Amino acid sequence: MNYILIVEDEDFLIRALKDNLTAEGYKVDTAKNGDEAIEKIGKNKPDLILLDILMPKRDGFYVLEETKKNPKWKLIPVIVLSNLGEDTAIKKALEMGADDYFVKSQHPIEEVIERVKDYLEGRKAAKPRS
Amino acid sequence: MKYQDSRQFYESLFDNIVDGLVYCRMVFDNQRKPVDFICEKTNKNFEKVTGLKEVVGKKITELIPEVSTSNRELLEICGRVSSTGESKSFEIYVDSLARWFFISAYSPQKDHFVALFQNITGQKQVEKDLENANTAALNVFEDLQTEKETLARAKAKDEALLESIGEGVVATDQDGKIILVNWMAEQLLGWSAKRITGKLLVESLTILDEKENILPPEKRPIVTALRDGIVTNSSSYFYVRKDGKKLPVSIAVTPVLVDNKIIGAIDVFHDITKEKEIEKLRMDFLSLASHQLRTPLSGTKWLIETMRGEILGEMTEQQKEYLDQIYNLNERMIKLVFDMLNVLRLESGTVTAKKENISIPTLYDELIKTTDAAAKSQGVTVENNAKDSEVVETDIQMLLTILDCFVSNAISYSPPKGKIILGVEEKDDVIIFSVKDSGIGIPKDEQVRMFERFYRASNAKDLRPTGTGLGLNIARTLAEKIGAEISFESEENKGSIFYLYVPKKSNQGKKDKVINSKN
Repeated sequence: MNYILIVEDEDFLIRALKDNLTAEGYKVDTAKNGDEAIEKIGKNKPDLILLDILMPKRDGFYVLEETKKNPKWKLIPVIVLSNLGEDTAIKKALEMGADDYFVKSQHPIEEVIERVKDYLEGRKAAKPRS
Repeated sequence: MKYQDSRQFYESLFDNIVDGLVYCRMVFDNQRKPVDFICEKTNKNFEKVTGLKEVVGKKITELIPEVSTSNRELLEICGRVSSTGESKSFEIYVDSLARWFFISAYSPQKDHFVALFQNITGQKQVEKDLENANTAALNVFEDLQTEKETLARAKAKDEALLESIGEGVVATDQDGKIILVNWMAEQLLGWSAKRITGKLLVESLTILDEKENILPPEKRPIVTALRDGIVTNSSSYFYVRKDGKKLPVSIAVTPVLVDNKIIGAIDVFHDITKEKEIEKLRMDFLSLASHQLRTPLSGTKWLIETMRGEILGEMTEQQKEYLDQIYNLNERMIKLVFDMLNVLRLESGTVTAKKENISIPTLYDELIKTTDAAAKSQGVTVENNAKDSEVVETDIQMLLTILDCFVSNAISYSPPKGKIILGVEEKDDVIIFSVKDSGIGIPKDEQVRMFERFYRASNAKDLRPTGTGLGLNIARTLAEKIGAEISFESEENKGSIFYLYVPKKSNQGKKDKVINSKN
């Protein structure tokens, strides 16, 4: 069973994502800030990470940096889910190695779930950082 | 010499001297006041010198009737000479003859006198001319003096003005050498005017571009002003102060033209540190506000979507309808926040148009793809009528957003089975994009208000209460950014065509090359 780590500080978003992903048959764990995320990735390597950017303590950029520079973790697909809609934020995340970037309010949750399936069912693979 | 000979000698002498000579007998009244004289003898030149005719035997009062009033001194001097025997030389102007004379009178015997007349009118004229010239020169000198004072005053005023204004001013001559640095420029740059006046501006002051790289001399505004007459107005440069600190400035550099020749340039600048800080705060606020507004909206959206997916169990039809309405309200809110933040961001001026090439059919394919879902749900078709593979150079994202606004509107206000046609046409220097629909159209009296922020036509509001009224307003702002224009034709209940005119060689963002600019 594929294991997905949701890194998100808002409970209602965690809930929506978790319910949908569980219904699809995935095992889900959550982290509410960057530090907790790195700790959980270290303990139990996820098959995919759903990552928010703005969070208390260390933010999503930190998690992205730590994940993509670690040889053991760099092939974990990271889908950024953020409401930072500026081109600069999107560009920065993609340059840091994010595999996808969704502005949450602009996409139905089904699209996110479909993209998760693309990665976990082998239709799409994480790209190594250029 | 015999008497006869001597007489002839003297007569010839008298006749040949250039002066007029007259021998007269003085006439006195009872109180021995001189009242007249009688000319008894003259030489040949006398008549020529004086202009008087046939004078011998005549009284001076006959020859010059007004003499006792106009030249009273002539009678008095001659009377005195005749009485006292003292010689006298004097100058006199005789009005009736219009001549100046220099007269030397002496008395060879009592009550008689001899007068030698020289016509000095010419000489007097020269003197008078000289005097006039002198007066004129004095006047000119005085005028010059006054002018000089006025200029000095004006200069002092200008200098005081330049010194006291809140903007830094640096001026150069045509070679780019600094000729003026005002007080504010000294304060802002940290250099004293004394240290840099007379030096080349490009060597004395370092300027950085918006990425804080040193601007090469050939690109510096002062150089382009002196070389090409280009006026630069920019808020994206930094001056490097004497202490090495970077100073963000807004500058206006203008060539100084005299008779259409560039004789120098003026750089007027002010510190925009505060403006930059405020702009950054504003952008940070916008970014945070948009994030904070979107987070609960996206949460609501995803929770409703999850509920509608019936993971949690089935719902009644009525519950589903309710949920759909809440969902639509939330979507409307998301769209409103998105559009409003777009408007604010566009207006902040931080968004600049890029230049990219894209073929128009590709652009239209992309457009049809992104609007496909909306078109399907409305039951309308979007047709791509662009045949040639013309390439347009502009900001693709902005162009797409504008056209997306046209197409989304066309879809929203079309009847089911309606057809929307995307066209393209080249004309002179522009590419004209058009989006034609057969929808509800825009009422005539509301057409002028279509680009107003939040304005929605009455029939559009009735049909679709959820629009934001920002679409065309954003489209117009974006069009301005890419140097394009929007127009439309519309008839109520027949349909609308929206046009976008994009210049082929887009020159947006470039500074116009202007001579004699008034910027």
